[in-house]
Amino acid sequence: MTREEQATLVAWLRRPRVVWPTVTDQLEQHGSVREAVAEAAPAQASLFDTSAGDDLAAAAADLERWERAGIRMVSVLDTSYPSNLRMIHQRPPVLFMRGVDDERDAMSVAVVGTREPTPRGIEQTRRLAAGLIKRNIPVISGLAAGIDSTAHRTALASEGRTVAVIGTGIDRAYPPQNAELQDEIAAKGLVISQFLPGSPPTKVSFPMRNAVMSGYALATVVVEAAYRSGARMQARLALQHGRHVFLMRSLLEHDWAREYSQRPGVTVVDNADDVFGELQRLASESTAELVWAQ
Amino acid sequence: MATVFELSEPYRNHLVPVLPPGVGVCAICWTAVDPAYRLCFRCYNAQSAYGPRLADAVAPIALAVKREQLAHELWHYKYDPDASVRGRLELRLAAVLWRFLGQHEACVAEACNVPRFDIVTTVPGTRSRDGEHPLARITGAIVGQTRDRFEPLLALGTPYDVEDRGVHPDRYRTTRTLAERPTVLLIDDTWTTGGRAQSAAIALRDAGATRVAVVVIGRHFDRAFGPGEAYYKAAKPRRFTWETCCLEVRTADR
Repeated sequence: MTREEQATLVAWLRRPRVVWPTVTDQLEQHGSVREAVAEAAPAQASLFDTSAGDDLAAAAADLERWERAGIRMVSVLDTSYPSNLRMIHQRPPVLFMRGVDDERDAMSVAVVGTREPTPRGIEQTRRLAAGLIKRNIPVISGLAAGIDSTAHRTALASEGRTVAVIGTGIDRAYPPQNAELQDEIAAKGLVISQFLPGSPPTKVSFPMRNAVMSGYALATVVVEAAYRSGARMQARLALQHGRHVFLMRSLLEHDWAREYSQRPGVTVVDNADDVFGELQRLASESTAELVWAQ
Repeated sequence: MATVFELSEPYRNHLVPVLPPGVGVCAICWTAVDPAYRLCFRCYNAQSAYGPRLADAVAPIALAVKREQLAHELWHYKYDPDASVRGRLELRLAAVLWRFLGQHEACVAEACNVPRFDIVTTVPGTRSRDGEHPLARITGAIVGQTRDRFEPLLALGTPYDVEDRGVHPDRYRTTRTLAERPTVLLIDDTWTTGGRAQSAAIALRDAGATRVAVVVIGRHFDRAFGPGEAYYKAAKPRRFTWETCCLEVRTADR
């Protein structure tokens, strides 16, 4: 995508009352920003007029500024848009990224859980993340306090690949004390945000982030989570995406987890080995021949 | 190796079934209709114009709800720019079709009063990304239940505008006359108005098919359209299951 097209897309996304999922659909259906904008509305088409160029100029300047800060923008029209994420209906039109891509992410696992973990939850997360890294599986998480931060830090300490999918603009950190961790992940792994740089955290941005995290990873592991938690929400979203969900056995003390454990595509696990075995089966599905046998 | 069961089972988590026949459900295509009507506007028009030349039975596997996962997959298995995405979705949708036919092709045949279907064919795609229509590959090469009976019987006929969703007997032509008077199972990925599937059914019947049944993977569904939201609210809590199909329910209700 050319810089002009990128600027047009950013200016489009900033317009009031623009529905982002509709933008995604229109980009995909038309295959180019210019045609999608022309189709969307005459008001949007005027983005290409030099007379209405203030928004465009501002967007172009921002893109330059973001690039200098090491932030790149990837849209659904770019070949580098993550394949796993393309497969789910909640794919955002653009992603902002800091860090490097890695093919191994196609077989990555999201490790999520509560912001207020117990010592047992922390210990489980450490063992799980270290075990995944040992098997060369990237650890994806949401950079929140608690389980998320533990998963990221363990992956970094094990010198493994970790990716943070965050619920704010990529130039902000939430919670603020995780700013340093975010920088370290960007330096050694990858930070992804589906929000325009500068976006503050909101009530809806975290569940939206959970949908993208579910889509980016091949599967989600929930370590420790109460009924009202983003982690349980991510399990629900993952199942709606047709993605596999792993529940740590200790979660079965919760009613919601016992109910989920009965669903198709959900496996109760004790350790990284259990996750790894199932993950290999999931990864082989894409190239396999199909047979009827159960 | 992937099995049909492994790939199709997780769809139970998100597929939305069509409602059983009754008030508020189109008696042909299963979509939401105003309670005062038996058929939706499109099916009413098709029935008025072509009556007995239309398909004998229409069976959607599930609703393809706009902005939900199945509708996403039914578009992206054909048009996603990423070949690996198309391939993965193609295999999954093949598993969905195979699972459904494995358990319910007999119900579809029963709804047509025939013991089985002699030929399985697909509605020709109007456009695709890599030449071959992936639905023909699914039906003719991947799905074990259909591949030995698959024959590409239909080709594009008189060209109509892409936006023209009406039923036209000359929209498709058959590649041969069906002198042996076969029963035909017609597969399509998405039923939006029925214009394509019903046009294909008419072409098959005109060429000699004695029975034509349509199985579609997804019945396009827009919650914001007419009585859509009430229908969706009734359909969504009825958990999708592979054990029953809409035609079976109809037989049981009689």
